[in-house]
Amino acid sequence: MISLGYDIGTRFVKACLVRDTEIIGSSCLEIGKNFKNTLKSVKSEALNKAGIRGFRINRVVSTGFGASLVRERRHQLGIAPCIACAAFHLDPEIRTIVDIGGLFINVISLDDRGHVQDFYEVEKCAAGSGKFIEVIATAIGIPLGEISDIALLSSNPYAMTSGCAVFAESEVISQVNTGARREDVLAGLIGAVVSKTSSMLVRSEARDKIVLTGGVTRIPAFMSFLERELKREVFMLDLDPQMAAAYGAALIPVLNPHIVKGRS
Amino acid sequence: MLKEILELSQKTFHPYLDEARRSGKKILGYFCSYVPEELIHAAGFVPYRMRAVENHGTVKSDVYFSSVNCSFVRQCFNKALENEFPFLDGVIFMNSCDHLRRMYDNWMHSGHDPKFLYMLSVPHKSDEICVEEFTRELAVWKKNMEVSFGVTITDQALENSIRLYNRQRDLISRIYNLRKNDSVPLKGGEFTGIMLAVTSLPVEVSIEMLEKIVEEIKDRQVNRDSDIRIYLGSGYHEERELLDLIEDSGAIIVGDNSCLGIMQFDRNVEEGTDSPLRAIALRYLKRISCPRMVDDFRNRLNFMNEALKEFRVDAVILDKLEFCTLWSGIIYLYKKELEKAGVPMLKLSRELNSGATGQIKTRVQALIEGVKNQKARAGHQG
Repeated sequence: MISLGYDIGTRFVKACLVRDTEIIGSSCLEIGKNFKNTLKSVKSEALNKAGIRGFRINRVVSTGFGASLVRERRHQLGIAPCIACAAFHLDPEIRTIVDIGGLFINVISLDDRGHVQDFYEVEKCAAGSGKFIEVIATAIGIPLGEISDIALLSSNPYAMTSGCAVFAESEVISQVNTGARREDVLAGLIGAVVSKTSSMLVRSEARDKIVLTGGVTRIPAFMSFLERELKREVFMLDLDPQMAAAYGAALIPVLNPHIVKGRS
Repeated sequence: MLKEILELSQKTFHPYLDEARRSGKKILGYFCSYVPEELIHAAGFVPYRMRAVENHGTVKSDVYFSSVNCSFVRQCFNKALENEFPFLDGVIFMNSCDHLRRMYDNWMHSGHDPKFLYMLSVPHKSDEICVEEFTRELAVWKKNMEVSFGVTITDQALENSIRLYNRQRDLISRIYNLRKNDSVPLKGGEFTGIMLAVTSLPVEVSIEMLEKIVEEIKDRQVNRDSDIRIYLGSGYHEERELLDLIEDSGAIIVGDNSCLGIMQFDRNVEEGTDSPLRAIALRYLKRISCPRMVDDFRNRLNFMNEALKEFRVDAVILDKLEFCTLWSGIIYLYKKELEKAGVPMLKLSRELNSGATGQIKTRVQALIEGVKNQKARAGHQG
């Protein structure tokens, strides 16, 4: 069986084509001005990579913030069961998943059978998300690709006090203007997201093993800061971390067909 | 001496506390200037005002609180959860605001040391019924401490403590009032530093230190002639950098209406009365009130207006912590009254120990600039 999983995030659209449980093609595009076109391109890119035609797809499942925007014949699922399905399939020892995307931090705890036991989402606030890091790094003139390397140079990370993205931006600008080193400011910025994530993990009484997914994991410094803060080991999936939810969405018709049976 | 006391103010724990502990004294933390230190001292303990200096973020306390809780409460509770107050034998809370009340519940739930946590209920008015009620409340607290720690708090011990704390308050008042002069001997940040240190020291030590400081600063002058004189109203501030920033922009802070300032030492407890507890209750309810008290805005305003004249103040800065419900609710009233009186004022809202200085600095500079222009114009016309 071939299934297609869409994950419509707040910043990127991801599509993942799966034959049985194996990924045969995937694609990730930034949401442009025209959502419909982005959706079309992401699908055709995935199909091209898989080298198959669209009519061969048996099931389509969409998830994520904008799941309902997918007009194709579809099944719509929450983000938690999709990521849970993908993570547990790849590693049955996983009990906690931290997903950090463009706008939200999600913590998902799993029971011993891989079912979602509990789900925590960050407060309605942009501080503590990928977009937050992006905005502030841009404000101090650091390209996204260099964030991690520069932050790792810091020896004295600045401790951010504001929990609000807007206030944090003015705090950062003050720091830069008063001569703080940019690596310290950047490390502080990542530290702010790390502390928010750690608080959520403590609140959820996270069990081992913990894995990270989502776009922010593209910043390796984030993971090492998080491990330092938690004093615990954190893992990554053997998968593009941004693709976890889309992969899970495509896996569900294969592994748990009863969930999507008859719904369309 | 000033240098030493300022160093003490930036530390959570210092050798004087260590010495007190080793001589067998217990240390009891307390929040808020409405908790009578006299009672803690009379039990043979050292009262320690809780603070957030040297804090390392709010990771653990954010599990309990949300980002719309005050940063003092979050930073201080985080320190507790990180076990950074291991020297405390108990903590006295009071119903000053909801954030702090919830800290009591959360601390209980967390099971962190110390285990002796006590919630003192202070009335919200200061009339006769409330004084009686507060006296009764103090008696209950006294009994509780006696039973929990196996001590006896005699009236004589209370009288002795009252005398010592009166002496301390007198000394602080003397230092505070020196700032009325044209040559101001202390910076605002230094005064805050003294207050932070004094509220963490055994009173016998602090009296000695304060006596030396009075001598030391007699002929000191820290202000420039061009500095404008500022009166600071504040819920809670413990960062000297913030006040330095204001003063470096061309101002000198001469007086305050803040929790860690005048409210801590205004008015003495009457000595030699039949009931020391009632005398204590009277002092704490009749001193200049904080916005937590209801029905007392007129008194607070009159007190401030008097101070504005006495200290020849040019402008007022009212500073509050983000999400402080008490100050948020009252600043508007102050603003309207100050506008009526023609006193320039600036309202600051900030997070505790925040590095967001740029915005504050710009606003303070604008205030100072405005006041200086106004003065120049008045001088020109005169």
